[in-house]
Amino acid sequence: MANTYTKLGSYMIPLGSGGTGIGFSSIPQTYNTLVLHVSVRSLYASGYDSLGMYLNGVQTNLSNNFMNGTGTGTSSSRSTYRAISTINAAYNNPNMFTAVTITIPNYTSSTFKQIMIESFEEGQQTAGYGVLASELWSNTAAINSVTFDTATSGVNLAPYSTFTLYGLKTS
Amino acid sequence: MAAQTTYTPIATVTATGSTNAYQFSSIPQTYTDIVLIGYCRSAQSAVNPGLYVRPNSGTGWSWTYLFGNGSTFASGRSTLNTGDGAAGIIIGNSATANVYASFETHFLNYSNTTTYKPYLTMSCAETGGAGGTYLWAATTNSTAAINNVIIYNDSNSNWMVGTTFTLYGITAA
Repeated sequence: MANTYTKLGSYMIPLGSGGTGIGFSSIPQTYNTLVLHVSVRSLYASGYDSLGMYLNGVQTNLSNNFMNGTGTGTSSSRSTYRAISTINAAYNNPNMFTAVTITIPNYTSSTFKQIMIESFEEGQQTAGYGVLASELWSNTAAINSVTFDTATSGVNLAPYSTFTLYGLKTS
Repeated sequence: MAAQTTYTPIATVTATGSTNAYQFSSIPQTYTDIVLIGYCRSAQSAVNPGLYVRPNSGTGWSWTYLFGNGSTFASGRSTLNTGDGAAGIIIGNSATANVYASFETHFLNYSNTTTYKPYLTMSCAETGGAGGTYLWAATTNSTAAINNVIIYNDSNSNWMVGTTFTLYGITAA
C-alpha cells in the first residue's frame, strides 16, 4: 500500500557545532505538498531569536503577515524579511526548543507560493510566543530547496535542532 | 516493518474555472480523521473573499475565529446556529495575478456517531503587503458521521483554474 506522507530528508545539528544554512536541496518535484517539522533553538545569548527561512536560495519577494500571542497579549504584524517565527535562544532554559510546522501546497506550480506557518515557543521566561503566519513568496519557480538559519547575523542554530521534510501526494 | 499508510488521498479536484462549489461525497468511514488541503483563488471581484467549508451540507453550528492582517488582531464567535460562517479568507480575482490562498481543514473523529464533530481550518491569504491569516474552530451540532464536505466562496463565485482541493484520510492505527 502506498505511503503518501513520505519523509524526504531529516537532519539534526550535532552536539559541538552550530548550524547555519541548514536545509534540503534537490527536492523531488513529484509531490503536491511539502511539510516541514522543525524543533529548533538559537545560540543567540541576549534574548529570543527568529528562525529564518528562504527558498531556492532567494531572499527577495517575501511578504509575511503574523498573528502573535504571548500569553498576556496579542498582536498582528507583517514584514518582507525571511524571519518566520520567534524561537528559543540561549536566554531560555537550554533544553527548550521551539516547534515549527511549515506547509507548502503546490510547491511545483508556476504560481506564487502561499506558505502556512505554525510556531510555538515556550521558554519559562516572562512570555512565550505562539505565531500563526502566512508567507507569500512572489516567485513562479518550483521550489527545489529550503534553507534555514537564524535571522540574527552571525548567530548559529543550536545543537539538537532537527529538521524533517515530508512530501505529500494527491494520489 | 511495512510502511504504514498515512495521509491517504481520498480524492482530488482541480478547478476548471466554471464551477462554484466542489463536494467530496460518500467519504469512506474507515479513517480516524480527514484532512482537506486547498490551494485556491476565487473569481470574486475582491482581494480576500470568504471561504466556506461545510460538512454534511448542514446548517447550525458554533464557531470561534482568530484573525490577523498585519496590523489588527481580532477574534470573534457565533453560537447563533444561523447558518454559514466563513471558515477563513482566500484570494479573489482583484489580487495580483498568480497569488493563491492555502488552507487546511482537520475534521477529527469524523466517523463517530456519538458526538458532535470539531473541525479546524487555518487559511493563509497574504497578497504581498496586505491580506491575512485566519484560524477558525467550529463544531457540528449533529452526531451524524461526516460523509460529505462542500467547499465554496463568497457570492458563489467560481473557483479559478489552478485551484486544487485534496481530501486525505488519516488512520490512527
